[in-house]
Amino acid sequence: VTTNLAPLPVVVPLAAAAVLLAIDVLSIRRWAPAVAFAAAVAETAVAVALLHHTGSVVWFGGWAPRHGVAIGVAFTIDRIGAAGAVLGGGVVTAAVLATPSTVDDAGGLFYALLMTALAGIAGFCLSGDLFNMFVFFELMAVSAFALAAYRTRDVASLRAALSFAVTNSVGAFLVIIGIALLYARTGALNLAQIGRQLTADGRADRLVIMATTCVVVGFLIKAAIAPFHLWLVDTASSAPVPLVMVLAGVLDTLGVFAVARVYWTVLAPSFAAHHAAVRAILVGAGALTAVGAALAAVRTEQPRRRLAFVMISHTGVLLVGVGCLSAAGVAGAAVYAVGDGTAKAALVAGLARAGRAGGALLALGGLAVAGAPVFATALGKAGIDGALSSAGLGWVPILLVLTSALTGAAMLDLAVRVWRAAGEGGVGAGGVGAGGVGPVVGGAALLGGSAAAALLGRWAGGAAGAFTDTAGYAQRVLDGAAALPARAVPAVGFTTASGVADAVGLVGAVALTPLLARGVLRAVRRWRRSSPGDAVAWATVGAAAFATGLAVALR
Amino acid sequence: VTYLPYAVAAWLFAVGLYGVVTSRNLLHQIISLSVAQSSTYVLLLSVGFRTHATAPVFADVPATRAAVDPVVQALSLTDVVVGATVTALLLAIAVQVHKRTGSLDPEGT
Repeated sequence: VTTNLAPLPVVVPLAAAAVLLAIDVLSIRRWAPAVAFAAAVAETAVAVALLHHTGSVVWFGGWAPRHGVAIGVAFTIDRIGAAGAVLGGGVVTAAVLATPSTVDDAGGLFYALLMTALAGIAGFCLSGDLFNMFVFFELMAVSAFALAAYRTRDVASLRAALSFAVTNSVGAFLVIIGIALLYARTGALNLAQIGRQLTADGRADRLVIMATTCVVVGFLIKAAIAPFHLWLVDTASSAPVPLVMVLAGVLDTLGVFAVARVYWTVLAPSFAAHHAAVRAILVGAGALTAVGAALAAVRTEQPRRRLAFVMISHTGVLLVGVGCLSAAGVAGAAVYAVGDGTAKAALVAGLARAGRAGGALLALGGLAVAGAPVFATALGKAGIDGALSSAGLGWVPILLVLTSALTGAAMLDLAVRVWRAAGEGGVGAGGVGAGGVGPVVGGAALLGGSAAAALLGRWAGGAAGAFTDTAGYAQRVLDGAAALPARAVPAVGFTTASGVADAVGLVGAVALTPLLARGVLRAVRRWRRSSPGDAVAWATVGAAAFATGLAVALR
Repeated sequence: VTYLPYAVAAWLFAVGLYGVVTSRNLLHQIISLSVAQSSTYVLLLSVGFRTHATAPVFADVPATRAAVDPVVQALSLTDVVVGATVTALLLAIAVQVHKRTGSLDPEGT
């Protein structure tokens, strides 16, 4: 099964980036936003079309596998990957809309960097090759580093960009070390091939533990899971608004997506006997991140820094879902990723706009992160709660309720502040920009996407069934088998327990908001900016802890 | 099998990270990062190395001749390109920081 559409989500934004650079040279900069907008919309449309070609495997240059051995490089289209490309396109489209009013002097170069980031996002989601995943991740990372440092007059944002680039590069080194070790053992770079060789080899020994640690920790650094999160706090509080929207909407999510993809295509059979231990490590890291960052969010005064902690906290929730190591967990996490990513990007847009419109975006986005059932966050969390109960971790949802209440209250408090400031004719709370109409339109569209994603319950069940079918994936990629009927996975839906949990979280968020406004819990008024050295030191500690945990679990 | 290249890779990664963590100068920090990255080149090339094998170019030797693994060489090249991009970008940012603050201290003031 193949399709000619597969390369387009990467080709369209890259071609647009080239056009945008020409626009800069030709001094017709007023066309730049239109070109970038058209390209981002086109990428989104192609990715939506790809959703109808799931099961396709596209071998570039016709280098299809012979006798089950892959030498070429493939895009493998599955629903969750294609949905990632759709999400990326949607968030970048909104970021393009928000650019003219939030970035001074954004020429073709700025938009070109947004486009190369989008090409990286799309290629990363569709790639069936571990090394190409690394290359596409670096394409989006380097674009994001340059965007973070775009305002060269602002020393704080330059320093944040340094921390961002240095920490994420260390993550990239870890990923490539892991890839080298896996290649040394299996002689393969294709995900399905590595998985099949590892399974045939049957050893989950120190080399596999080491490789797993490197790849997983490398991607978790890029996902800003605690203790790898320091770079994101500084970057999200000083980088240009459109970049922060992309970070909040997709980039962090993709780090967790990568862990899930590598686990289910490569590692699952090797760790089959150790599921419980690996689950404990991933869910533990996710839950600590979720609760810790949520507490940090309500204790932080500065609006964008607070939002950064909300971003980190909810990436932790996503890791909890993926860490359940079940199809149900992946299904819940997929719904949550779409519903929460769009809501967080809308919150960034809301903070960029003073006045009632910004306040309204923040209020709706706050309700979304708190888990109002209109938005897909609630459905996604219900799915994650269900997966946790099935995994015998029924107490973890309590932590997720606490997380929703705290992060929801943190955002609703900001909404109240911005709304009040608008009533008094002020320019808004500290750190809130003037903004134009672009962020409002983009933010509203994103919130619409978050609401629409609430219809994905049934879709996500089937998508996760295919995503977690390791043997089926390998047969599709290596043996040219037609897409197998995915294992039946129940649709993501609400249960009584998850409904109660959701209601408690939502009510808690609303109840906490007035307390926050009165300054209860708020303590951290000044945050010491972390240097790249601090961030890398913490990353090293976290990597060592992860490796130790895995080694102890698998001894 | 000799473990020397792997030990070298581990050492380069460790000293590179130590340099990044303890550095008091942005240029030193960026170069330390490059040192850490060079460990990945050493690792990749040693994974594909075979004793008494030639380079993977078969223009003037019999195709049956043992050759080192060309795949890891391609990976290293890609890795070098990514590394060069990041280093160039980081140095450009460091230049801007120096221009604005007159200092190359990573902690700032």
